[in-house]
Amino acid sequence: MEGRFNRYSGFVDDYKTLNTNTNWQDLAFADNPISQQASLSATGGNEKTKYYAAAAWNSQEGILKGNNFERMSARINLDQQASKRVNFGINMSLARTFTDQVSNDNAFSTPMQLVALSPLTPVKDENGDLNNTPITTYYNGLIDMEDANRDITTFRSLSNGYVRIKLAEGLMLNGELGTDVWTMRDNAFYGSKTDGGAGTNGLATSVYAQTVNLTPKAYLNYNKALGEMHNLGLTAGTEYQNSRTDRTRVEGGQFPGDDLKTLASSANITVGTSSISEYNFFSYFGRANYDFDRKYLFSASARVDGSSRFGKNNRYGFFPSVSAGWVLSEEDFLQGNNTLSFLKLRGSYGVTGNAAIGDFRHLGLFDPAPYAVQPGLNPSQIANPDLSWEKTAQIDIGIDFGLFNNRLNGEIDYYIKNTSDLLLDLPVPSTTGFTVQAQNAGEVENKGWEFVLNSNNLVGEFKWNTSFNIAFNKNKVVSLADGQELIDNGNANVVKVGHPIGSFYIAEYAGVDPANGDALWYKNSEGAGRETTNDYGAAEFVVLGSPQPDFYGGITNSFSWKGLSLDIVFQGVYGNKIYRDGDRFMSCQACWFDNQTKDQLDHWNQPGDVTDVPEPRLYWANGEQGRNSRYLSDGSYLRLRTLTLGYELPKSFIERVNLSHLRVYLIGQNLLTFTKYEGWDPEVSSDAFTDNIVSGVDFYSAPQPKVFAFGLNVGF
Amino acid sequence: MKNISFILAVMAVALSFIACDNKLDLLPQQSLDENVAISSDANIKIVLNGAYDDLSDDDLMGANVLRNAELQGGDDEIVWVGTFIGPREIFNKQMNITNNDAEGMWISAYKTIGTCNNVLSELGIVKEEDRSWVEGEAKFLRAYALFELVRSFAKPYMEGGNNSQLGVPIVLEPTRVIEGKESVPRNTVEEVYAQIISDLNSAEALLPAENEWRASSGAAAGLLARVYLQMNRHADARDAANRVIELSVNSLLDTYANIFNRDENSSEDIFAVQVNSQDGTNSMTTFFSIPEYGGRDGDIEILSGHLDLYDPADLRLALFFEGAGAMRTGKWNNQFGNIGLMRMAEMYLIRAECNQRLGTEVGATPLDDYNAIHTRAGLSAASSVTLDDILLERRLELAHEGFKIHDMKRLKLNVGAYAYDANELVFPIPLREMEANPSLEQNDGY
Repeated sequence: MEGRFNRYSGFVDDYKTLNTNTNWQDLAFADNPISQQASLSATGGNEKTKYYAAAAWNSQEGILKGNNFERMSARINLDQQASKRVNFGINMSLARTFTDQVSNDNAFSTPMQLVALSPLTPVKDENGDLNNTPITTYYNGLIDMEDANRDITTFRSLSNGYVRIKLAEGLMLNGELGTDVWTMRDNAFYGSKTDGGAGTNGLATSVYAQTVNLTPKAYLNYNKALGEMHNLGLTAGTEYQNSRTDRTRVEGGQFPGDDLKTLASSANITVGTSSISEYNFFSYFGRANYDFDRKYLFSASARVDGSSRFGKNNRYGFFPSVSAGWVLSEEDFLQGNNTLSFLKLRGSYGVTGNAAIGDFRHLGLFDPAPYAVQPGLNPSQIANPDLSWEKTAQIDIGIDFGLFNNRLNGEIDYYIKNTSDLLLDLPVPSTTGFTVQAQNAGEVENKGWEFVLNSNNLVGEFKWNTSFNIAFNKNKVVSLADGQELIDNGNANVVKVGHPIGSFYIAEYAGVDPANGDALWYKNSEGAGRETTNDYGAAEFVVLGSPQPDFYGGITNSFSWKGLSLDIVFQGVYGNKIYRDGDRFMSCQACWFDNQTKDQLDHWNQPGDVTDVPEPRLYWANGEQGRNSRYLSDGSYLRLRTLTLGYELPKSFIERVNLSHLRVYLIGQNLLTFTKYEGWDPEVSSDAFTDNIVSGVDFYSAPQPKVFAFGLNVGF
Repeated sequence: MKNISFILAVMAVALSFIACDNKLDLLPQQSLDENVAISSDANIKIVLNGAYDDLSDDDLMGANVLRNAELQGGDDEIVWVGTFIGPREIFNKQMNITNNDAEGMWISAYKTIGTCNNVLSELGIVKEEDRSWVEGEAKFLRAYALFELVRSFAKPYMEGGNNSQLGVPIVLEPTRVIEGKESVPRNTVEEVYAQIISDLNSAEALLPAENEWRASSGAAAGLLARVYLQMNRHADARDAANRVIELSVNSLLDTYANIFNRDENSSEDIFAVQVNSQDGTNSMTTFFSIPEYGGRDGDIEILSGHLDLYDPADLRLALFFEGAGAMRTGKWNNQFGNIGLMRMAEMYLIRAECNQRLGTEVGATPLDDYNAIHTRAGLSAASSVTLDDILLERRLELAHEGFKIHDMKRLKLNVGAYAYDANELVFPIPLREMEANPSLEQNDGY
């Protein structure tokens, strides 16, 4: 042990005097990060030509050192009435983002993992160079800030050209062509002192990717009023989507020094690869709307969608929907009633399809597996020619209402959403050579209530509006494949019949045996029930909550007086759980040399001690092995999301400088948080460990920053 | 009118895209459909290369399996100080059913077996003149994976017993569809060893004596020697090792240090995983070495309990070095170097040990074989030798190359506080596998 302390002190005996006390966490965070934003917009035109143009810019310095973001965007919309029958136009936007990025949460070089380093360790040695292993417990991520950089630049151009031709009164032919072009360049360099580049005298990677989406669409539109009372609308058309992604990646090492950072200087190119992926969708759709006297509203629609992502046997899906509404306040018995000024009942039923699965998942495939500089192939995916659409049938019943001349208005909704034929990677015995097969299986139910309430509390020169929303959702896995109860990929989150998706299925921690400091577990097995054991393997896993909240909501209060405005937005969630996955390293009563959270000082010390923290046993697991509820926390919080103070300059002033409007504002984000969560931030999901099952996991994840932003909106 | 023609052009483009169904028939550009992949002589041989790639996975022979054997049997000689929980559990004999390394090994081994089975089921497509080496290599690789599985996931083979204890499933056919028949049960240890021996006998007969980096008849015989030794079938092990030596394809290098950290195989290497800077990983470097050589932070330290076993003049002792605050083995300092899985010294040591046990002199006397290894390490030749001498020589010569726990099990030695056949020394069947396959039975103690 002394040897370790000596090493972590930089091979001196400062550990005896506590001369060094480094706060590594402080070093992870940037000093006073600042955000700025500005936007401009203009509209104009004449009878035949109309335009809208806008530009915006924002820049954010990250809360973590080395994390910065900048975005610039511009948009132009143009519409031309070419003749009485024809108009056409184009909407275009272009955005560029620039990100200066740190490693993901699961890397020693990510700034948050600095907290694992020992406070005994000085940041720099006597020469002023950053200390590194073996003096630091792990790689010193500050070296990445000096000697590594990663820049990601993206361009995205979205455009939609359209033409509308009036074939007859009420009958329009529409043609649209949407294009979405996204390109990304991701260049990184890890210098010879970084953990990424140390073994190869520097390491550089360069990735270029481009995705092009083309979506031509053609449809006929017919609108007809029959007499005073009947309104009819019909639409029918077809749509196609092609999406293609190209990607190239080059990686190399052996650099002449850390100043030359592009691959031109690499003496050993170790990766050079390119790939292309593609998918297509093809659809027919039709819709009919009918209303009678604006009191009784009906609509029905249907679409047939085909996707290249599904097996030949089942690639098309049929998705119908119907809805109806009744505006009661238009009826004689309510007309003119100022107390109940608006009332509408509505209901709908519809089926939608989901193809959110990777490309080519229905095929039996072999992947390249080169070996010893020779080509190789090995089986990578087992076929499922029946793979098809995931379907969601939803029933929704709602009321929209307005009281007191609509000064108080709101919506109440109840829904039941049944998703069946889920697109799942179902585990198969790996003795087949495969671990999963993409299948349609099982059923998930979501049902819940949603309430929205808006109130104009004060009208007049001083205005006060309140808007409140709250949503309750219950998610439940109804079934999986035949005979299957569980999808368990080895994470705390699983899919288990009868429970919400991503439920935490873990061993239940039962505290510490006062007699010997052993971590205890509830057996939770049949018969044994609440008996405890110190053998983790003897504890059965149980579901102890899920990352999904019982309810979430928000309340916004807006005040305005003359040009001044103040908006206060609170948001919150209740009842979700967070798995503190990093705590098995930083809250394991010194199971290893990671710096520990303060609460670990309460560890068991001698027989009779009653505590939740087991006896420290260096190199041995005692309460941190496997997945367990010791690291499960309540994730409920209420947060002051934004506070915005704005000032709209008076018309009389801005007209003199030829502007249509000019607003300056100050935004504060995340200024207050009320929570019992033990980690840095309850509103967190690890960027390294989140997928369609795993969520609500905190693994050295950066907290949401408190941000102050200055902003400017200008309109011409 | 110019506008109208523009409009018509846009419409024409839009409609021409809206072709039809065959637009949905896309094929991937980085992967090959299975029907194409196993449809020709050339492709089957490329799939065979893929089986080598499977075996070289870091969870298998690339080579966490070697690391785990050292960790599990390394009490008082090495210590795991890394943060990874999987290896720590293995080192502490405290494994859980969720252990990542056990799961990764299980999956990679059966993936290897699956690829081999894809080759073996399509031998008819292979050109007749090449059929024997293709079959021999696939059987060698299948046996290799199955052998590693059975000695990690099952209780030890007991010579003289009926070995009806649970082994691992034997899978000999490729899976092309999931139809409900995939939940295979575990075969017995006896059945698994019989399958391994049958594959290796067949491979030894089919393979050429020289085969570059690929499996040769010597590699098959060498693995057979290792398998027989694990079963304590000493005469069979001796004879198989003797066949490798008498092939005279491979030979001992003169300098011990030159055996390791090689970009290319040496004459001593009978079989090695091929790694280069563009392909393959060398996880022995990752865990046994330090960042300077592309390792992690020095997760495995070598203790005096091991170092004290050497004569101070032993050149093998000189290979250890101090780095990142502890002693390290110098065998794994090339992150892009090959991973030796079988080398000539092992064959001499098997022949020496078995001749000594049986009082025979097949090929050479135990003393000569012992001295061949002993003198290369810079030590003077012995004039007589005992079984213990040979076993110590083996322990030093092959240290940190993945032999430790397996030797302790066959020699029935205690591992720390655990008997050689303790439940704690057997890997758990991975939880994911138990859940995916209801026919599997878990090992005792999990």
